[in-house]
Amino acid sequence: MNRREFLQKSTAAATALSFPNIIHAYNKKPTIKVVGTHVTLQEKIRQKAEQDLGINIEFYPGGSAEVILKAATDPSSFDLYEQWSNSIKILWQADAIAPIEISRLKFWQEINSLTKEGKISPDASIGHGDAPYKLLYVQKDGSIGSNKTEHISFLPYVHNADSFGYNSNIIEKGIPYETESWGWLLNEKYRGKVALVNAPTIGIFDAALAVQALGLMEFKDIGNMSRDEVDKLFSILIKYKKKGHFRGVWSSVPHSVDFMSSGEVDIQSMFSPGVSSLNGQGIPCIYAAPKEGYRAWHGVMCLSKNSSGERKDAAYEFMNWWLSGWAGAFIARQGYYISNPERSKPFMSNSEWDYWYEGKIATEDLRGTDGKISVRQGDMRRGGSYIKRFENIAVWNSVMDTYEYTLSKWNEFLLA
Amino acid sequence: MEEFLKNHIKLKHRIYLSYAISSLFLLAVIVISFFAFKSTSNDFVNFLKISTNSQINFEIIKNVERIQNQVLLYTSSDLSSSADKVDLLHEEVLNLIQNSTIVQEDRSGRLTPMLNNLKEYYKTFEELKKQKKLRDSLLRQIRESANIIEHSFHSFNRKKVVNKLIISKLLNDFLQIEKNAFRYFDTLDGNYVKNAKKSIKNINEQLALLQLKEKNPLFEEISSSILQYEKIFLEAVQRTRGYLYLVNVVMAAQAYEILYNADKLNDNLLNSSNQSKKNIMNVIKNTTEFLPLVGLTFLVLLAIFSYIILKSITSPITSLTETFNGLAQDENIKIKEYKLNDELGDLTKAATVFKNTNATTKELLKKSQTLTGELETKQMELERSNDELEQFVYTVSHDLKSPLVTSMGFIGIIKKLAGEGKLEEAISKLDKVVKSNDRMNQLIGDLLDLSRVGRIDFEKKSIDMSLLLENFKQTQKITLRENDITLKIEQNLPTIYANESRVLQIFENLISNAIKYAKNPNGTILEIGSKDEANNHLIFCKDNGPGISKEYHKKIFALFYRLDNSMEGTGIGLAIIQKVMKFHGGYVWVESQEGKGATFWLRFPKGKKDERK
Repeated sequence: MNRREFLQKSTAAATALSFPNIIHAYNKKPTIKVVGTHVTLQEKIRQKAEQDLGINIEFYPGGSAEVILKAATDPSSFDLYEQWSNSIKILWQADAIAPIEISRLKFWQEINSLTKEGKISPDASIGHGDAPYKLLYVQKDGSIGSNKTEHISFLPYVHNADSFGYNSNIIEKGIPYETESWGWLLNEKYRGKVALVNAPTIGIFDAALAVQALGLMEFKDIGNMSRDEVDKLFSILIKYKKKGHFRGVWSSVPHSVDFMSSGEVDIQSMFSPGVSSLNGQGIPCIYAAPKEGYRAWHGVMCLSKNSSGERKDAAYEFMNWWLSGWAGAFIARQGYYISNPERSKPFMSNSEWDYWYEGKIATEDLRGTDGKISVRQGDMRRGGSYIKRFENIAVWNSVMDTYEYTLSKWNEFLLA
Repeated sequence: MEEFLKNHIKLKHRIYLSYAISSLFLLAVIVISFFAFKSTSNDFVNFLKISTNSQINFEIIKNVERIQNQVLLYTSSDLSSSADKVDLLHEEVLNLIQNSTIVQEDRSGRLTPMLNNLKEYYKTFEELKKQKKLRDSLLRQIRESANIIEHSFHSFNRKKVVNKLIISKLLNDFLQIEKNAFRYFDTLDGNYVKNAKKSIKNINEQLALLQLKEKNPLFEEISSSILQYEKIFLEAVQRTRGYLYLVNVVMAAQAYEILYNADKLNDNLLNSSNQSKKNIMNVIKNTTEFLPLVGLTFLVLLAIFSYIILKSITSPITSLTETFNGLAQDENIKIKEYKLNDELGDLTKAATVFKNTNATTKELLKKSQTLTGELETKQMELERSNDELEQFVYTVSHDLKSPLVTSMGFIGIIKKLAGEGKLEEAISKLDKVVKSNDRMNQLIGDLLDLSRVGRIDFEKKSIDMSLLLENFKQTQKITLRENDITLKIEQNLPTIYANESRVLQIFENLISNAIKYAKNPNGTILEIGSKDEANNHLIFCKDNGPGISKEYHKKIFALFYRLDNSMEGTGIGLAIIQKVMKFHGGYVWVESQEGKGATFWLRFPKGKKDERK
């Protein structure tokens, strides 16, 4: 049996085995509503899931602030919520999501230790902030924490280690983990050509890492800054802003791509699809591997408190489908990782697996999910393998206790 | 260039050309000035536009900042007026961005992102207002819910159902929750939410315990109210976070993009303004530097062209003027060639015609003068001839009359004698008549001979005088011996161009006169010699006779004049010599003093065929 045949057969088998019976399927084709961001709510995924599961799936993608507000205030508007771990605390606090039964998750055992224990490998750093393992398990007292239980607050699935991207036509290529540094974001040489992601729960950490890298200040816990630390951080950032260091902020991946492709920005916070898109346009954007470590994020798929009956069953099937292999391979081509990568390996070519997960040199041109070549033969993924990258986490995207305070400071920074 | 113009471009066209060149230069200056001023004018208009646009842009920036301030004021207070101000300011900014002036001038395309961001900003603000209204509504609900819960607790106290202390504690706990809740909304410190949630959980646990003990529906009621309170509170927290996120993150980023693009637009406008200023200054500078230089250059070029064209026109005119002046002064002036068929060409032709006519006229004049001279000469000769004729007639009539009178006289005598019968005496008188008639015959013969000079036997040829006179000497040998005249002839006498027989006649007459009038008792010597003049041969005949007194030097050449009437001869010999010499274009005269002999000079003009041995 060749690999192609295996994939076909295993897909069919998976479909047959995994999704044969939807409990309480009074409606043979139930509809589930999924609220989330464009990162995971992609049309190709929806279509494939509908096809594989035989259910109707409605995606409601939106901006991160928009969707979290919607989810937090109106749990009836969704069955599943997809975003990242820094929204878990808000949703849990808002009592909008329900615990997920581990027993109903087919591939739970395949999920690696990153989410469950906080480390991808024994030598890995956990990283400051809301590491997902701290938010995974529903505790007996109803809080969420790291003590293992039978219920989790979110399905571990998509995740990645983010850093900053830079145009190597303008900025000399650095050495991963050696010379590449978050401090480059505040390098005077790039004044006027720097941008940050417009999200206080994300961009603030890029800035904090940069400030710390340059030795301008130290944080007790960079993942949960105190008010004083926030004040000092923004004082530094505002000074830079007033000197015209920052071109601005971007609020979407296409916006970040436009920034760099237009030449307005040479270095900025970046998400992996943005890097792929720029490379596909022939712009040599390098996704740095900072020596200080990455800013990581973990996607969360949460079950609505209000989801019940066949819709709830369908929601579980959708969650299981995500971990069944195809979806993991799909998002791998955008640079994201899945919590059970081995399940997705058969759905990727050897070259793809070697490049995206093993951090090896691409032996051929690799295409992204848009069909364009996103990786040229001979390219190597910055930062090395999946393991290597997640062994170097500096901080996780987090909603800090000073979240509301950072919002006003962020406003002050933007309009300085 | 001048030659080119003269040889290839007609006069009229040259004048047109000079006008055209002048006009061209003037036009060039006008065009340069026009474009300079137009450029300056355009740049100035542009500058004014840019200034207007800068003003508009500043208004945009100012208003956007005011909008954001009003939004912040709106979010931090309950002032609806702030929201109204945002609406008004938004409208103003929208109008400013869509102002046609600035739209036309936005070459950098900054207005589009500004407009898009403004639209998104306002859309977000609408969402913000909605969220705030919802939150404000939730806050009211929280208060209402809190009132309900407090009221319920107070009911417990009144009904004395449960231990007052417990209820008071619960009420205090609840008040603590409320305090935390509103502290959160005042300070936006998330810790108060945690605290509130903790307190809610705590109070619910206590109520649950009490419910187990007391089984009072009020507990359930309160518990349910507290859960409801919590729900409303958490929603209010989310909505607060939501709209705070909207205003501080989303709207702030949108406002920033508007301001950033406005700043860049301002930079572009400033650059354009500086560029316009620079252009204006450059144009002014270049114009003030360039235009005089150009003008001067044009003037110089114009002067040169004008000079060349002027020269091409005046030079032939001057030349023609000189020509005409020269022609007028009868100079044989060369007319400069003029190739073109224009007015100057016509003048040149006219000058040529004039010259030719002049030459012809001159020729004719010359001929006329010659003829006039000849005529005058002829007239003089005629007069002289008439005089001579008159003289001749007089002389002839006078001299001829004498023998005739003598003859008639004697005839009369004879007749008388015959009548008297004195025949012998009468016959003896016949000799006198015959003598007189002989004399008259001689006179007439000499006159005839004189008249023939120049009419017959007038052909000339080169005559070797030495040879001629030697031969003549031989023919006159007997006459010379009989009269004891020694004739000496010089060697190397010239060759003259003359009529031989007439020349011989000259010397015959000279010898004849020498025999009569130049006798020397010691022996008469005649010397014939010559002397050379530039244009004449002079031949002399010199005797050693008694000489001729000066008063007779001219008279002796008159017709019939004799120095001594007793001598034989008619007195025509020297007249014949004079006429012969006149016929040869020459002259005869005598140089003599009494007692010193006489020298007769003969001047023969030299001709082509004259030569001296």
